Amino acid sequence: MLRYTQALTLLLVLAFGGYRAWSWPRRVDSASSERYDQTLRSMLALQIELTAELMKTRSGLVSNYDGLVRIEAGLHDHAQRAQQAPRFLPTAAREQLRRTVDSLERARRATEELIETFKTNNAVLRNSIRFLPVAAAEIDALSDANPETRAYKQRAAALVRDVLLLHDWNDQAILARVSESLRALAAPGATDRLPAKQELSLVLLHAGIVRERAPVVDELVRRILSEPTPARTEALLSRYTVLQRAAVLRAERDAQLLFGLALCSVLSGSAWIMLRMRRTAQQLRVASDQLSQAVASLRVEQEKQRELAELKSRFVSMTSHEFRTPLSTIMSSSEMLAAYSDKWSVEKKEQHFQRIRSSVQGMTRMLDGILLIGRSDAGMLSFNPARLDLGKFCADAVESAVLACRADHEIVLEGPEPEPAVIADEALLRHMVDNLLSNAVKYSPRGSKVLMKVSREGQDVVLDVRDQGIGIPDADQKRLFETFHRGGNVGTTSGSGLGLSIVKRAVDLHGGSLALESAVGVGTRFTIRLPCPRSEA
Amino acid sequence: MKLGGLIAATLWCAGCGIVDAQQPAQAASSAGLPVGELRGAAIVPLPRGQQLDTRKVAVGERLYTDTRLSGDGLVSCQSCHALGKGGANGESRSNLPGRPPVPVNVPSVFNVAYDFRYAWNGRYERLEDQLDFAMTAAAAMAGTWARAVQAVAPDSSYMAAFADAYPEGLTERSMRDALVAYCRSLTTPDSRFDQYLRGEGTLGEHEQRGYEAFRAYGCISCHQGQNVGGNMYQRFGVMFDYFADRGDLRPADLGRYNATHLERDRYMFRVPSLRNVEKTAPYFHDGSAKTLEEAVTTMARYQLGRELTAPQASEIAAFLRTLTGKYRGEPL
Repeated sequence: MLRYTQALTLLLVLAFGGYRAWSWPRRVDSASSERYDQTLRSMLALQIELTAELMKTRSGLVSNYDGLVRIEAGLHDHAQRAQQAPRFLPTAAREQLRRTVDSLERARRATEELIETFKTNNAVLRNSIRFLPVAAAEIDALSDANPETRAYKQRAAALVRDVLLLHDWNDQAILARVSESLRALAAPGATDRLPAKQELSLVLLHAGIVRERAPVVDELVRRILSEPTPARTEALLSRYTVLQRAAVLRAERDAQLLFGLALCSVLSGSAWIMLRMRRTAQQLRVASDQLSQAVASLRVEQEKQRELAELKSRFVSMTSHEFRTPLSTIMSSSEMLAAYSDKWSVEKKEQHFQRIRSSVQGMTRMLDGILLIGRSDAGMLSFNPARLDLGKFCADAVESAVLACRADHEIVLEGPEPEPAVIADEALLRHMVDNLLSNAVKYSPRGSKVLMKVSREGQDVVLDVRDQGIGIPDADQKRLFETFHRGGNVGTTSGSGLGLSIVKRAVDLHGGSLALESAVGVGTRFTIRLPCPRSEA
Repeated sequence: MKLGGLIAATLWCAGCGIVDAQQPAQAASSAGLPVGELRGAAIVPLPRGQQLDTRKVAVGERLYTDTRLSGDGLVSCQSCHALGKGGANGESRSNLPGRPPVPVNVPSVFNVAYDFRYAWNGRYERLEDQLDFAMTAAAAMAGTWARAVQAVAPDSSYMAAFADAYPEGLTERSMRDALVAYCRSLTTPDSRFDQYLRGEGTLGEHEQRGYEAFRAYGCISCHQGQNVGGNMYQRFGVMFDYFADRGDLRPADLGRYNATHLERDRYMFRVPSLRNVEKTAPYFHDGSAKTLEEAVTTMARYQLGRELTAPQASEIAAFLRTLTGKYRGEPL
């Protein structure tokens, strides 16, 4: 019982383990994978935002650098997070990702440097650009009276225009024109006699800055935009997706394997338990068979004991009756003979002597019967075949029976066919015929007919004895051949219950068979079939 | 049922992530910042609220003034960055017992949360790096984090406070983190100019003209953003050579070159924030400008190529004084 409980616990643990193995890797995937994926996507989004922010600050749509700083800080954080590839990935895959992230990080740092340089230069450039309209207004305010001033003014106005154009278009022709104007206007002594000399020199200063820095800033923007970080991030993202998918597949395969193992364990465990149960059932069946056999043999033994007890009681009741009756007859006849022998006639005396003799004969017969049964039970009754004249034997037997019944019954012998001789045991045969005939006479009404038919069928001799007597009840027919058993309908008819028992034993010893047909009130027929070869001699 | 639970849990976690990501934005809008309106404006008001762990800030505040953190137990963070002196020390150089002066003017500790780099030359990308430097520099704390942890470890009140704020308790890392949290909490929102930007206040005529000049002359090209600077590098001497005029070139004057050794970074400095600038005299990395007007004049000359008249400088200085904010509700 304990072992079953243990096995069941083991099964449950295995089943649970299988379930965990099935669900564990996928759960890890979804959490850290989602985070990592989100990091890479946010990185890409920030890189794109950076481009937009850069263009806005370049064009002056946005006039502070907080946005760029914020995006750069975000990219810095994301880059650090991207270094930590999810742990569920195989080492090789993580190494591969780390290399890609490292190269991306180098590109990010390079971009960051470019952006710093851009901010520095763009601040100066935007400042100068912002100043130019102010400068233009100041130049415009100059008097046109002096032709020299007018010419200078026109030239300066053209320069401001060109610089503003240059800022927007960055065209080589304009650049050349601006350079030419700057050289002419800044020529030594060109502004010596002009009013507002300081403002003019400032205009030239800022124009020079725009001419110098606008291409630098544009070049920086071009370089930043051409940095392949977004493309590399996209590549990283798709690389990660591939690796992640592979890892998930691998994890699922592992999980399936584990699940299969668990399933196998569960199945084999179940099979083991079932086998054990079957074996136990078999053992149980064997044990119960043995038990029922023991019970059966016990019952047989009990039956024997009961039969023995019954035999004993039957013997006691039989002897008490069958011995006491003749003994009391002998006693009374001998006492009366002793007392009245001098007074009684010879006939009277002879009558009592006859009663004594028949009583003694009856008792002797009974004792002979008991001894015969005893010898038979002790295996001392033997089969001694010898030559026998069957016809003479039958006639003698019938004659004795007729004598014994004092012609109260008509005993008819039919057969046998005259034949030389047969090999048979005369003593056994005598037991059979005497008992059957005496029974037939005893249990038949006075004057009824008893028929004994002897015939030959092949090697067998068939003895058929039938009467018109009281018959044997069906219930008694089965046990009729048991010692001391008598039919339920015998009434006061005396008998030992040994006759048929002796017949049966004699037939068995002779190797023959005995059949019985009987109906209560109609009569009884015994058929004995004995193997009796003809004598050759 | 289990699968459903799993999906729900995943969605919940994802939801948490989204909420976390959105919190700063919500904080900004709850601080009354009309982002859309001010988009494209050069100067942006400082946010009024911050997302910080108050327990960490509280521990950091104690550490900030604790001299046991220094190598010789003589100085603390506030020895140089005194909150009462605009987050600096009011001198052109540091002046600490038994230590050589730091080669540059002490920058303010206020609003460092909004700076993009730290130190004049922008050498440090994170506040943590700047603190590492300050802890170990012979001219500053002249100590180590390990020593500082040992020094305060016997103080049971520290141990309790750290145990409350950090799962790992008092460690070198948590000590530095607490100081970073406190430094980040040192912000000065609600300056008069921020109120003006939000439409909650006005500027005086003088200040208004100063603001216009600040824009028109181009100061605002570099001093922009929510910290009015502090988000980019610029060369000191765009128009003219400042250092040639000043003379006595020192290594610290090379600026970012000292960090990168790139020629283009020579004389390049982190543009300082102008918030609370009236409280942080003297000015520039060399502490050479004693007054705000002097600093404005120098800047206009070397950075913008302009010679300002005294009234012009005075107007711009007046505008700059409107950038003084409030720390914990009190004006600096």
